[in-house]
Amino acid sequence: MQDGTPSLAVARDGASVGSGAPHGAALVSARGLSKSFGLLPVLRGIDLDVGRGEVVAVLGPNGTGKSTLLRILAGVMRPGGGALRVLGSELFPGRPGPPSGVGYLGHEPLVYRDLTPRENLDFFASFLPGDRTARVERALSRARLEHAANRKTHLLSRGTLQRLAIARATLGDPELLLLDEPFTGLDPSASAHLEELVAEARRAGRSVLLVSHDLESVPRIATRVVLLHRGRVARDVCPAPDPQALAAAWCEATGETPDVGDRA
Amino acid sequence: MTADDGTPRAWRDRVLPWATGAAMTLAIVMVFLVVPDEREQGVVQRIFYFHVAAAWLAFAGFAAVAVASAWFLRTGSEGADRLAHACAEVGLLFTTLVLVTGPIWARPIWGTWWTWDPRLTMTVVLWTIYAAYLMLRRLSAGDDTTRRYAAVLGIVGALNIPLLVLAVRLWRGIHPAVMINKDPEAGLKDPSMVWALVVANVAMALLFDWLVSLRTRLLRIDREVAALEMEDHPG
Amino acid sequence: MWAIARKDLAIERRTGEMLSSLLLLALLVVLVFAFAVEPERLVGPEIAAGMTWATLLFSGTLALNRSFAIERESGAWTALALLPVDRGSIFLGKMLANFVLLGFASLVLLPSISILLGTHGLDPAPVTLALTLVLGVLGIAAIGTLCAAIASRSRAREVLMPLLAFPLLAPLLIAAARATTGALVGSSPSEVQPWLAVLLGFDMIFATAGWLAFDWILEE
Repeated sequence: MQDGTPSLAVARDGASVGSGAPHGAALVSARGLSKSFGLLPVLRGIDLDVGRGEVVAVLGPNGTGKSTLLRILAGVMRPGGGALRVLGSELFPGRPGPPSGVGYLGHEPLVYRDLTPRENLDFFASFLPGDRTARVERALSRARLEHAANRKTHLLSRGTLQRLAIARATLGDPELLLLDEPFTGLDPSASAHLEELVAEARRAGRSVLLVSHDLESVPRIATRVVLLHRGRVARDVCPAPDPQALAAAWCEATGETPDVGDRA
Repeated sequence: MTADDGTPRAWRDRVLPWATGAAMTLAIVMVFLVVPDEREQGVVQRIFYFHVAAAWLAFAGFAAVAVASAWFLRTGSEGADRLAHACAEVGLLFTTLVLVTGPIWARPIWGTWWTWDPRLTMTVVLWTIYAAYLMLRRLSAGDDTTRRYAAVLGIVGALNIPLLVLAVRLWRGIHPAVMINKDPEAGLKDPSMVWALVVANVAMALLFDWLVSLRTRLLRIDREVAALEMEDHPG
Repeated sequence: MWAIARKDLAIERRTGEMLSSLLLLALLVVLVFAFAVEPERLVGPEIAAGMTWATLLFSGTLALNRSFAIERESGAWTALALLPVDRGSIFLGKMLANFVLLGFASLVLLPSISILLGTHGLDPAPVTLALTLVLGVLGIAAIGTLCAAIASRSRAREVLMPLLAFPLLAPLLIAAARATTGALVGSSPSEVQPWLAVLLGFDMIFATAGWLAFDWILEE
């Protein structure tokens, strides 16, 4: 599987392909993960391994549980069933608690609107080890937020807010970065910055799991594509195929045409 | 075959209704035909057999809410959640019975419908705690998080009871307990009175159990209906 | 825990939302009582003590709603759940911030209510008063924080919060009002000791309960 050719045909049965841990121990190891909202089953048994240095794009039609999967991996949502290990420790054994070393970027910015960006980062950094001020300044400059650091968060533009959210998610230099639709609302330069960030994380041997709608950018940054459909892994392709092959695989797996950019 | 709350189905459908009916009939016969009039209070004292039985069951019901809630938080069993829900509903009903029968007795005996007696005060506060518990369930989406929040409240509400008892007693002083047998003048003099109280208690307990099992089943059926509707109209 | 309390207080310092609405509401409650009942009847230490705690209870529970509304906005709730710390300490941090806020409010309310209702016959015992205020406000903060968290998810959170909090606060209100009455007429702590014991027990039970319960509250 490491020969670099997209091999959709082999990838038919999903989990058997590309789900190994090519670079040592798996950072994420999920077995039979399920979750329902009330009576509506959202995830129906997800098996997923993410190895070190992988950039996994999770694709799929709306309502297939992509965001739910990410929230479970982040430790903020308890799965209905199945076993989950993240960064070597079991999640949700008895008492819940988030794993450390995981960064999560959600749909919402997850920051306090009445604090400035610097105060926000300072607050979240106070739960991380090491020099707080240095960490905050590093995050601010990495996200190119210095000019806005002391402005009011609720007055920031959509793109700046998203950059702040990214800075918050990467504040702890996480081993595993979970990005839920990170490109939504970003201007082109910020998009490029994010792509850069993902590539950098990959070079540093960290892993990224991202949910996206954008079939164009996914092949550029992802090393592997997981297609979800109706709460199951429909395709697991490594390395990521080009956009046309991806769109074809999407059609074949879900019976729908990809709703490219419908959130933009 | 067992119902989801662990009650055997035959017990719930066949035994409980008849047992409840028989025990209730016996209790009514004893209370109204067998037991003599209480010397000082007269005929109105007869309401006390049901009043006391309802109060005990209400307390037991709220203890059951706490236990079932803890069970739910430990295991995530939806049956436990439904049991806690049903016990709170029936417990609230029994507390209402206590609050209705109490004044009926108090009016002729104490000369007033209501006094801020420790027991009365405590009972009315308990009533509001469990009414609030049911409001929480009603005003929230019926998902897993709501169940967890309700379970936390069910336990916190029970934790409140000892403090409430303590505070209310300190506040209003300890009034003469009507039903404790220590005072030879105030106790239940006739052995048939003790028996009537026991029978009334058993009857109320069976009624409580029966209502809870019916409510638990109804809650489960509600959920199944919702599931079927979801299949018809997915998304 | 300290970081969370500091963050909440920083937001409050910036916006002043909770404290201003709390004090204004408290004043309105006093006015409402004075209009509804003849103000001449609202005299004496019992009334001053009772009014203080009643207004603190009403306005405090409503203001504490904000304490979790700020977490629900922009999804900060999830950010809290993501923190690599014990979730009980998140509860303690928020409780601490609410304690500071309500404590400040009570320091304003008690003297102003005593003045509004007439101060004759009052001979406050500072130690008793301080103990009662600290223990009473701590209890309101504990129950208020827990109930605000539980109510914050409901669409009817403004209604639900007092519905949940008032009954649970009944023992506290009884004990705090009696102890404050004692304190206002110069009782030493030992004279109101049973009430202080109830308050202390209340605080310990519900601070612990909230600390343990937050594992389940914060999860989705």
